[in-house]
Amino acid sequence: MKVFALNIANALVVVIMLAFLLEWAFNYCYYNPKYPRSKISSIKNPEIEETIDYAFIGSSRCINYINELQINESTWLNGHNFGYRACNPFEIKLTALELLKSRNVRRILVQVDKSFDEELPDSMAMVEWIPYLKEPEISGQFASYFDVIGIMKNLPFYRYMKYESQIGFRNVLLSMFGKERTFMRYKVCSSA
Amino acid sequence: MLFNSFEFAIYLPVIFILYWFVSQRNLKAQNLLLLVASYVFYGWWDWRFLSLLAFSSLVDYFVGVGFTRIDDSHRRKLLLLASICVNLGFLGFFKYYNFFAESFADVFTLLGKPIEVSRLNIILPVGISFYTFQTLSYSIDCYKRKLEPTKDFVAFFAFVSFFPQLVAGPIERASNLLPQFYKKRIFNAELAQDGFRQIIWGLFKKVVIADTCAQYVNDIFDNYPEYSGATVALGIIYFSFQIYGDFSGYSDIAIGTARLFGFDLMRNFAYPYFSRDIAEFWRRWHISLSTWFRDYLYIPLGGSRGGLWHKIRNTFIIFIVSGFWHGANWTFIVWGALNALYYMPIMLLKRNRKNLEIVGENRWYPSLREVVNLLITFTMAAFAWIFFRAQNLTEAFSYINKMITGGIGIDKLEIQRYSFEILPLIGILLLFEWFARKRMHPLNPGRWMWPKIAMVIMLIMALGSYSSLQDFIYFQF
Repeated sequence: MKVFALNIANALVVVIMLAFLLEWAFNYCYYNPKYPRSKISSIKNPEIEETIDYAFIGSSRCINYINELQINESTWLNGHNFGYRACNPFEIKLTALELLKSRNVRRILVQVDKSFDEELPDSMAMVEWIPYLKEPEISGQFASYFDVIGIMKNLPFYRYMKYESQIGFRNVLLSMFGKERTFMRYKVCSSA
Repeated sequence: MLFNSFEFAIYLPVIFILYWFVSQRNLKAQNLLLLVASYVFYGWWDWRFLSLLAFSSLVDYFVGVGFTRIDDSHRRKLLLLASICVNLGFLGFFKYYNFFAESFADVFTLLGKPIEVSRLNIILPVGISFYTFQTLSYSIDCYKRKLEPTKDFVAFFAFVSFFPQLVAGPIERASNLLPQFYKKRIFNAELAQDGFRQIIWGLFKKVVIADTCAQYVNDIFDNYPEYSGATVALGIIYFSFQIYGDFSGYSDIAIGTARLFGFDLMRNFAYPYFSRDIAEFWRRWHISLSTWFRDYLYIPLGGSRGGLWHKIRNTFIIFIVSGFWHGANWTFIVWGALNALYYMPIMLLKRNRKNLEIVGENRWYPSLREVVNLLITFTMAAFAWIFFRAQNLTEAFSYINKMITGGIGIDKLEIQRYSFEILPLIGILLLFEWFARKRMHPLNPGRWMWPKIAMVIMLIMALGSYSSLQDFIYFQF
């Protein structure tokens, strides 16, 4: 039994070490993506310029109905559309705070759906924030709505396994070796 | 309770500790604990069907007791008949009633006199086909005096409901498993460690290979009219690996779990996709079911003795019944018949026992001829899987039609993943298994054991599908 217990212990050590290693690797990819796969990831990307004239934040309506490229061409301003699917006021607030923290944004324009009084995180939109839960400001915002936020934040690699279909290995791989996603249109504007 | 669920990850260590540290003193306590653990395991899914499991066990237990008291061959036959009727009666009622009722109505519709039949709105008890066959093997073996009927109530009930293999096999023969319940198990570190490694390998096949393939397969089968022929063909390759990963993964976890408790279950898969002909494939795929049908159906029917037509008839019967065992649908019957057709030329040419040793024995690589044979066998098996996966025959034929006429471009799938991503993973699976084809599983002891284990654990963690927990396919049978 002792030998068996030792083997189980070895396997557990392997699991724990791998969890830390994978956690570090995934975090690195989400903070330094070559091809950001989400709007949040693009905000976190240090390669993007620091000064932005205006930023749109909102849900899919914001992405689909506001063409920032057209606005930029007409006005010669440098603007970005940071809208993303199912983004509710909770995520809008988080995005705005994040933008203000990392960029010099002159104006933020917010689009809200009829769910403007919805304060809870959206189960789909919140996933984009999960890789950044280690940051106290972000986890602090989630803490009042989720009891398990501590486990998600502190148990290494657990959150990437739980939400593997959205932020798992495939997403990480594509953010490093994939190709630019079409919704990241601001890059075209910046280079122009 | 699913093997790949969080509940089982807690449940298994708890039972393991209770088994080896609390109930280890005597045999009765060990068996009683296993019996309770098995009933909790099964009841976790739906406790109402525990009565069915208990009743089936009770009937066969008393049939066995009856065999010890009765010597008259006629009365013994009646007793066996009672066991068969009860067991197959349950199976027929829960699994096949609607199929027969609908088929009956269809015949009348074809004759121009449609009739109304009432359908039963019942769910199929998980694993009923497995434990029914297991208890039947006990009654038949006792009847044939190949096995001494047991009077140990707890041991027999624990044998029927033994949780590692209760819901999806391997379908154990009573002559192999039941005697293991008569002897007090003493912890065997080597057996337990090997079992533990086999569980890891089974988990890899289930959560990495099968569950990832499942996402592609579901997408392709749900939308195949919109995809090209090549994508549709790729869908069936993915399904071949999904069903292999799913079912052999389950078997590995079951065998590994049983080993943790000191039991040795029979092997259920022996790398079937490394088969050079369809006869070899069926010696390596779902071995416990194939041998069950061989022992309790094919041989009693006369087997390969008798004339040519006798052999052909018996082969078709065994394959069609095997197909029908999988589900009450014409698709499974066609799947079985198609495999019988594949088997026929090999049997008629008396080449069905040709490839008994493993492919590429004592070599690292297979020869070109072997590669061609492997690919042909795989293609045949994969083609038959279309009928296994399709909802009905119309869908199966439509799928085949699309595969042939749909062009050669590969599409990007709706699930926002490219079709090729899974291929490297399948490559890893095949590579691991190729170099382990002489053994039960690839994570064997040796210099590279821990690096291999670490790699497999990493793949399970990083590439497993967890966001939508998938049932094991064979639970529905």
